[in-house]
Amino acid sequence: MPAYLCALSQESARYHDEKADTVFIGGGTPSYLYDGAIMQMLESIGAHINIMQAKEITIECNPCSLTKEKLQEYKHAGINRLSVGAQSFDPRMLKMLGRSHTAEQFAQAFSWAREAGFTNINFDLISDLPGQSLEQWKKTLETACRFAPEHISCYSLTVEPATPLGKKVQQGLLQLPPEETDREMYYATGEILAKHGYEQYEISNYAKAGKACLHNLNYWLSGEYIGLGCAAHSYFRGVRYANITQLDAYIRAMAAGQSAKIEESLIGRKEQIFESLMLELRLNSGLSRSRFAERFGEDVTDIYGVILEKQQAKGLLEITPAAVRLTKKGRDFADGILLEYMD
Amino acid sequence: MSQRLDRIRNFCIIAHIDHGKSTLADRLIDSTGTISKRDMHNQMLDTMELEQERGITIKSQAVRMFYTHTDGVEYMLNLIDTPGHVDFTYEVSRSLNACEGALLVVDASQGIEAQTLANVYLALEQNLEILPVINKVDLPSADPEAVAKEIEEVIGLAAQDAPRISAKEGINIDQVLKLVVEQVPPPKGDYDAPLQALIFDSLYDNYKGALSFVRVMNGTVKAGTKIRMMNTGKEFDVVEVGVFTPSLLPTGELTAGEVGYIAASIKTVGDTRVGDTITEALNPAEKSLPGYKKILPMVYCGIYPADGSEYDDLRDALEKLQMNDASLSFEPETSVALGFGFRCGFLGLLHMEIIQERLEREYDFDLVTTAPSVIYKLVKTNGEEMTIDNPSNFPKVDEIDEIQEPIVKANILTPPEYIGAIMEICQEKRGTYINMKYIEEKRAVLEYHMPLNEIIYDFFDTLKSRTRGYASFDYTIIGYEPSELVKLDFLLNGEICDALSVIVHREKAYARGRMIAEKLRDVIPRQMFEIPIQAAIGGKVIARETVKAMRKDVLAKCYGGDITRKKKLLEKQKEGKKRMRQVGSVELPSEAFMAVLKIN
Repeated sequence: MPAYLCALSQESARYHDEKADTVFIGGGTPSYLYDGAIMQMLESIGAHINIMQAKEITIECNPCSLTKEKLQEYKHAGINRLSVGAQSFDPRMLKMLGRSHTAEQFAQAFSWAREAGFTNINFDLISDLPGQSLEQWKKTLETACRFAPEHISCYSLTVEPATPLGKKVQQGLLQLPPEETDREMYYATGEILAKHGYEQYEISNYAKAGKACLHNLNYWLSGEYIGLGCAAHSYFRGVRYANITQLDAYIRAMAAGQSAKIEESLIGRKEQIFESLMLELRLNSGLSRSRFAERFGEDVTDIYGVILEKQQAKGLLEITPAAVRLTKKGRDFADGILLEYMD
Repeated sequence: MSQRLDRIRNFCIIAHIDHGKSTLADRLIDSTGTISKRDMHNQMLDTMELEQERGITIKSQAVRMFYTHTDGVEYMLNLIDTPGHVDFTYEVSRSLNACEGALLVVDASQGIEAQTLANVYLALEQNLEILPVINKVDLPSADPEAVAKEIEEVIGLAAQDAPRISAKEGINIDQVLKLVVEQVPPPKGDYDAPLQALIFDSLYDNYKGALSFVRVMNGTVKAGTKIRMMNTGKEFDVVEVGVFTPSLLPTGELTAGEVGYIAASIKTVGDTRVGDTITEALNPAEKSLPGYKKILPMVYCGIYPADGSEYDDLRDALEKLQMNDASLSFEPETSVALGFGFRCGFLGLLHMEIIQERLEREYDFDLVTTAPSVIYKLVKTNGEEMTIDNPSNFPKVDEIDEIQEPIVKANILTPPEYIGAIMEICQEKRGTYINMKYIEEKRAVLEYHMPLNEIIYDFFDTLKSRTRGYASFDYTIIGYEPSELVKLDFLLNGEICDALSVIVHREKAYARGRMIAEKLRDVIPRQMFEIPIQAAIGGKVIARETVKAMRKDVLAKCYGGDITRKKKLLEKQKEGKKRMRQVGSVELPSEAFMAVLKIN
């Protein structure tokens, strides 16, 4: 077995006997691995951590690396959810994003996935692309809906300066759409997807009834998770930590029986409270007051009453007996809102 | 008696910035074995860290050295270091007054520069014996012959025999010592006469209190003497007298002709003023020594704590700084925009920057400082006269009959190719051309009279950048003149932000208002609503800009691997917000207030 898979197995041994409710295979692009690799990996990890009773096992895929064989392998390995990086269906946009798949390849891969028996599929789509108009984005959404996946994630483009795209934007060769257009696209997303039966349940995530991503919900509900592999993140036994980022260093450390962690922090009560705001407000259902009270022994309005009311008065959130929720306007400023809860 | 005086030499070193004054001082201290090599560190006389960083002397100190001359006699050489910057002219003149001679150090590769001249004139005024020394002869671009010639032609001092030295390399330092012994006149003074000691500087010591650095002109002072400050009238009992080596060394007494310090449990340096005369309370001198001046601040700015709760701490810090800096003044002040703070007075821009930096660095404050302003004199229509140091306090336009502003005489030294550019700048700054002289083929001196408020903004930087650093300048305040000045106000979201108001000349008001409005537009961070920015004179809006409303502030992805990073990002943003001030409905970064000045 190749070194990386060995290392993963070695790391998983350190969590012997833990049980996972959900599993997410991502990174990186796991679908690039050779045929049989994923099956091997899940088997060797599964020898230590109980993953076979997980309700949801997702793998991230790139449309151009999906083959009938791979899809069969995934099915046999127990994977029941696919997350496909569609990004766009417009060839120009795909080229600009540096994606190696075509819309045709995508359609083919999708039909194979359905044939293989996958009944829980997510598309990732990107809006606010250079040269993209509101109309073009709406077309992308309509196209996606025609495929009728169970789940759609829509993200505004984040430009990283160190990428080829980032450099072009910096040099002025590519221009991002004006900010107003970004918001118009965002609002259009909610409307169009709702029309087709996708309910928005988080800032960037939309799903048909009962098809929200359980693995991600765990994050937003401050749940714990174990990350295996290089650069993986974990929140386990009250501590958040990250793994070694460099591949060779990670493999060496695992072989040598050393720790994979490079940064750790114990999340105390105060921070847990802040995190619950930061994460749970992202959900359309908002922060559940009863859950908060159960975890922390106080109602959230007792701790943050003044600030919450101030923000409610500004139309950014609403306080109901059951929850504290962002309004439509609040969703546009979710991060700025959080600053007032830090001291 | 005269034999003792004959063996004393009191001298100082004057030079343009960076011509090697401090290095030479180090070398003299080193050559005379005044302190052990182990205790030696570079630029001994520049003790404050800030001074070391900027390579300038702020506080002057004095060192007593002993040197055995070729005649076998041991001489006492008192070297008094002088502040180098134009802001501190008064201190320089008092230090000069404590000496009989001055070494004029000129950089062999640069020649005479503006400050060289300024300091030479000061020394001539004090009737000092001026001895040229040509430094940095080790540099490839050094031309000692040309510089000697320049000194002779421009200043009129014989310089052919001036020592050619390199303080850095330690070349010919002994020649300098010889020069001091042979050419600096010995001091004169009467041991038996009533005490007259000139205070030429002071320093606050944590144990001994404020120390007066003195040159005893007549009489004697020792521990137990009851002294009186002749110009302020205050009296103190001397605890200790001593000399500098350069560290403090107590001695039995200080007598006529000598230089040293007096410790008398003085609480603040404000009580031991530069230029004042110390005499014996029970046997006072008839008259105080000439030349005492009460130092007046020339430049003011508002200093506010970014965190309002630190107001008391800021006041304490300013008091502490004032203990060692008699020329720093401050008074409580309030601003609608910035809350509670202080109006602080400084000798000049450098002085202001130093104090600001010390407050931020040594006392760890986050400060909001307003644009510097000068003192204006006004005559109101009802005949009342006022002096204003804060633009926000200007009365209404229709109540003002006349406004007067301080004017300076500026001497600008430059190579001829930049004369045009400099004339442009000075004209731009409302300067009046007085005259121009060529001090040599490659160097001209331009004299301009200019308003001080045009100099304090960015004159120096503009001068340097348009002349590629070759020009230098020096200025002195010469008086007040009436002027067509107006108050330029800035409104943010419809409300006047008093801390942004500036006084400008009527002719420049429109352009200035537009530029500042644009600068504000760039510097004010976007907020959830649109922010109109207006520049106004009286009630009339003369320029308008808008800060667009922010449309979103949210990260698209927040999954397991993003959480820690996101928290860090939010923390950073929070830190950034701390530097913001809420001004009415708008949040302004502290930098906005000074940023409006950096216009070019």
